[in-house]
Amino acid sequence: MKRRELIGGALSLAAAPAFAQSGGFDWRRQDGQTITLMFNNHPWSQAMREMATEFTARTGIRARIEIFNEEQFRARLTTFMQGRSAELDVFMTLASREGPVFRKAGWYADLAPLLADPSLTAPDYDAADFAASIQGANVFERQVVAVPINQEGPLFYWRRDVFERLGIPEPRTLEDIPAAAAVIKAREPGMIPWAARGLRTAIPYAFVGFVNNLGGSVATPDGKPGMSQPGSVKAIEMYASLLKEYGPPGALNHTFTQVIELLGAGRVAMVHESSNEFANIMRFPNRANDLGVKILPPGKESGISKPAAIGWGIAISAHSRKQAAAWTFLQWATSKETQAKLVSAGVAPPRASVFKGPAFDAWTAELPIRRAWAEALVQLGREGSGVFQPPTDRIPEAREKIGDAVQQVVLGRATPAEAARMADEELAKIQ
Amino acid sequence: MVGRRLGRAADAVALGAVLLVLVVPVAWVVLSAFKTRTEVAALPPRLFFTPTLENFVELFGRSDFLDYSWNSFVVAGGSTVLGLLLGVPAAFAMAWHRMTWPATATLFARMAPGTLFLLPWLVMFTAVGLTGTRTVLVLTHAVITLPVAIWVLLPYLEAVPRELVESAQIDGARAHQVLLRVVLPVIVPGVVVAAILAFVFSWNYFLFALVLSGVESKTAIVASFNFVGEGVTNWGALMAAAVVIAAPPLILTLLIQRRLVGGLAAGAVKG
Repeated sequence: MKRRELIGGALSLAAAPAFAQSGGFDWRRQDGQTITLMFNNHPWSQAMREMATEFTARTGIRARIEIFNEEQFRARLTTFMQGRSAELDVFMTLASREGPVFRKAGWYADLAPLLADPSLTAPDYDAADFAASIQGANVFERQVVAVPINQEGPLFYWRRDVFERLGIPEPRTLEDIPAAAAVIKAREPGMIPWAARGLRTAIPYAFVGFVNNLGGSVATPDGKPGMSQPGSVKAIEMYASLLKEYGPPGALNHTFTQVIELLGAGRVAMVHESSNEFANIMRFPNRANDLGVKILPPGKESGISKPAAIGWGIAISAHSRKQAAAWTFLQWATSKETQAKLVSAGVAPPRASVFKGPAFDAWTAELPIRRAWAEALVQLGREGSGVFQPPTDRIPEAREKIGDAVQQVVLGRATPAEAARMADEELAKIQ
Repeated sequence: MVGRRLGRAADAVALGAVLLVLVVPVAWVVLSAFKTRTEVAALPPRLFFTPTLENFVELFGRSDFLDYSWNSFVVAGGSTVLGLLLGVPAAFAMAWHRMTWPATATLFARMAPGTLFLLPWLVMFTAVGLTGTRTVLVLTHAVITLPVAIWVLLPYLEAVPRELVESAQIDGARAHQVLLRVVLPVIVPGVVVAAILAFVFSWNYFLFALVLSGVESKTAIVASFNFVGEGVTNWGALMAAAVVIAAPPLILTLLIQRRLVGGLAAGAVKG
């Protein structure tokens, strides 16, 4: 049985008794409680803050929402968890990144028993409605550590107006990107041809698509580091060369914030950046009309496109003393009804029914670029991969090693093959 | 003559270079605070533009930054008062008895990385229900303000003639009376300097507030990071926040500039 099927099965089994009960779920069972929630600064969190009064009106539970920039969010969260603090009830988590470590530390409450309890879970919650690829990242050996709140991954954004003006065809393969960048560099001096994440820890998110599309893989079939495979070396070469030859000044210090600012301000012609930034990009003048968006073009030889696909989730702290109230929030926030409302905030729904529902459809129909973004997300959900590194529990470290390989090539300190070999050696040490 | 001119030219170049390094980033921040979202990201940066207050409207109108600034004020003010309440008598005792090790011990506490304190504090203050309150920040920021108070006041106190204290003692004054009625009036300039330095350091301190504050007790410097997000950084609002955060320390420093230099140099030369 494939892992995905196993996960779907586990979730469906866990939720089955909930479906069996019909109607009559008491949303106000935890009335009068106050829960504390800690979120990363994200379009979803901002929308949640706006909608918190709706949650309180429905459940009688008061939600104290704290939002921090990601770095500060992690610093605060880990201190609270290490201190086994019961002050925190709910937190956002990127289980594909920190899941193994947090789970090993015992920081996640297991949601499976809550899902299975008909007195605690609304009968229409429908846990099986979440895309299996996204929910899969939240399940570890049948322990459900979080429920998904969005789906995201890097997409290829390009300035259609610049391409049209210069007579460059829309990139159909990955190899078309450097070719287009060369033309833009030669003929449009005021325009930066390319931008993508260059900060060591941030690189793998955007880079893994290059590896997969060029026929490589971050891991070999037997689970060893795979950066020295020919396709992976080609990916290091292409990603580094794009940053070095066609990227903005200081590209190695850039993460999504800088890339999106450049794209929004109209200073860059192509980027490979998160689908999650879409709503923010659209707030900049003219970008809704002059941008194109789609999944990263496939490699010429491989014919496949397999970029990173991840989803944030919300988890309940194992140290919380208000887990039933916290679970009420999780249910409400990830219900079909709430997720349908979040669409207008540009949050890509992880629920299949919402993705195919009338609210999402009406919203995407308003602008051609929204439709293109939605189609790219469908493809991302279908083809994307949550694996950015060879198997290890030390995921952030492993990603840093991969990012370092790219940086070494950009800085001219190593050839792509040398950087790949060094990365493999380092990655093997932390497996 | 030529040598003197060359010397002056070299001074001017050196001064220009220092100003460039010090003034340009500050000017950049201040100008950006009055630019629109698109103008902030423009390259090359525009020196001439139509100023807007939209970033400040965002700051105070659409976020709770005024409340967070008030929290900063309460925390910095409270921890400064606490630092002085403990630091003045402590420094007096150290100066009188010529003990330097307690002062050194407070300095070690100040030099230790803040993360060292965080976890035990979190556990302790959570146990007594103080986590997330402004009280906890006032208490913890005393780790910053107390050493400042002691180290700034020591040279002032060492300069107080021992005969003055001894005369008061002969007249029957008790220790606290000596401190309050005899010594304190003499060292007021030092107390002012210590208070302002302690306030500025506490105002700018980030780490303790990041972990120990709550939704309502967040300080301005922690709240300013909320303009950096997954999505996009609101540079204009961030710059406006930086201007607001920098203003009180800057104003205070300008007000006591002369005393500050004198205070820091006090005791530098014995004689």
